[in-house]
Amino acid sequence: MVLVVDRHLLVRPWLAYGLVALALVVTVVLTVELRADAAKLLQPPAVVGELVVACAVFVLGGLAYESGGGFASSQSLGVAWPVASVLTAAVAWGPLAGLLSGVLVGLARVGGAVLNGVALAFDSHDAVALLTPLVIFAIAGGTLGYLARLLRRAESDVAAAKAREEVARTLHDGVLQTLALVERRTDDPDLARLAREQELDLRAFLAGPPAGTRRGAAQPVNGRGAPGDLLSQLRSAGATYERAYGGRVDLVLADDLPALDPAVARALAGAVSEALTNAGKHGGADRVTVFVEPDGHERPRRPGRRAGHVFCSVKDDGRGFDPAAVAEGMGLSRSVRGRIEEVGGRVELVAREGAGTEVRLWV
Amino acid sequence: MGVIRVVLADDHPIWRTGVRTDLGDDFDVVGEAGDVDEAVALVKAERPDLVVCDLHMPGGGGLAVVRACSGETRIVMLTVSEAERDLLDAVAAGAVGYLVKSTPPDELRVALLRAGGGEPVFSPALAGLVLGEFRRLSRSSGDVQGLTEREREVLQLVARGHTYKEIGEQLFISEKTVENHVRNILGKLHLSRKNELIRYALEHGIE
Repeated sequence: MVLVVDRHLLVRPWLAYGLVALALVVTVVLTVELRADAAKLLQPPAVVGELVVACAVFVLGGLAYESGGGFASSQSLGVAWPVASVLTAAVAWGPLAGLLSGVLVGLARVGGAVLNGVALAFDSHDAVALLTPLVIFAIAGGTLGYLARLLRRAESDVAAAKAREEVARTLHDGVLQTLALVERRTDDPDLARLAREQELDLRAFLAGPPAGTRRGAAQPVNGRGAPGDLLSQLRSAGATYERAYGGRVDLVLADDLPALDPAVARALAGAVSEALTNAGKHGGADRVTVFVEPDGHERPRRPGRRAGHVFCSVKDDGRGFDPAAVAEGMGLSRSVRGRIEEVGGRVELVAREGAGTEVRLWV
Repeated sequence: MGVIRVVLADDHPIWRTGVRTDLGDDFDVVGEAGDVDEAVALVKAERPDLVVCDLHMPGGGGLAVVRACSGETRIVMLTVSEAERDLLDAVAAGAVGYLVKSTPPDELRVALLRAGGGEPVFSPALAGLVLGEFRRLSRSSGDVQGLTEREREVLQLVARGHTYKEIGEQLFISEKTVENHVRNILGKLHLSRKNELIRYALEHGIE
């Protein structure tokens, strides 16, 4: 609330004080109301009341001042206070109401000036001085009304999106449950596999694969090596394995993996995919666990390697083999080792006959 | 040990029926619950050996059941999705482990038998989550009791898909010792979460 009063210019001080008192009372009432129930302030009685008081302050203000005391261009009782009523109307009823209220309050000010004895000639200084606030009031009312409407719309959009998300979550949960149940309860392996595939698809969708990667495709990754890219590539490799060999792949990925160079991520995913193929083809594995975490403790320090290292293992519960008898594990070494060493990584192969195989990768 | 008395808590009746059928003769399902309140009431009334509880349930989810009952019985969480943070909360609050709902029936049965016998059900995915949590804790604050090198080793091997037996063979320790390590790790997780809560409360002036 801004009140500028020069006592020397007042011809009817009692009126001026009365208006100030009225404005004060209204302000106090509104403030109390705001604390109790903010929504009430935007109800018609409150808004109209505020506008009426605003107009009254402007119009009657014209009587309080000495005639011709430069009323139009300088003094009026209250400047900010009446504007507040315009803004309230704008928030409550929208841009058009805001604009019209602005014009109304602006006109009230003109009315006050007329009562004060200001002559309204169109080319006069006073007319311009009176018109300017009118336009400003109107613009302020219209703009705020528009903004308030936008805000309200955005707010309701967000609420609607949240509600949809909640429903989607519940739905997905139900679908995942059902698929899991089908998978477990059916005797038909084809149906089980179908359910599993659908489950993986839905999971992949829920996890939100990054743009530019598609499950099952040859992984043209155009991302910048975010961990999500690696995840979706590994997920794809796992799904391919499950489709081909009917086993099961568990992906255990740390959620704080560093960003990898896209070439490194591709090499890693390719190597994992090769290791999986070996587990299925030669190991007859039922269950494979792919584990990836930031490479801290087991890091084989190598000079000249860039940041963003991970350790990855592919462990199966298959037949395994005797490393002494089978030189470097049936071609596994070339396909896996080749990819990893090309990007400066290291490979270790641990196998025992009858106790599965583990491929360890550092990149 | 005799038959394991178990309570099934899940808001999907069809799922409860499915699990009930899978469990077989080693288990006696003494009650089924569709929400948190029912589950808690059942546990207080029946005193089961084991609760198999869905992570997402009306009334606060599995976490609420764990908070209310973990002192009285062993609780295994069942979830449809892996690697969720609220899962970690449930385990930190005292759940003995969790299983993914797509776990094949035989495996489910074996895991629940072990859980009924007091062993933690520590799947690779959960081990991975816990590993990550300790990494996060060691980064964020110095005074958290971290894992010993051996514990980290065990935890990582679990996350990599090794069975307790395999881990024991690799580290030249008994399976029982591996199990103890896992229990200690869970204990530390529990403690660190509690400390974190206390620290948070102190920092924010909550009495």
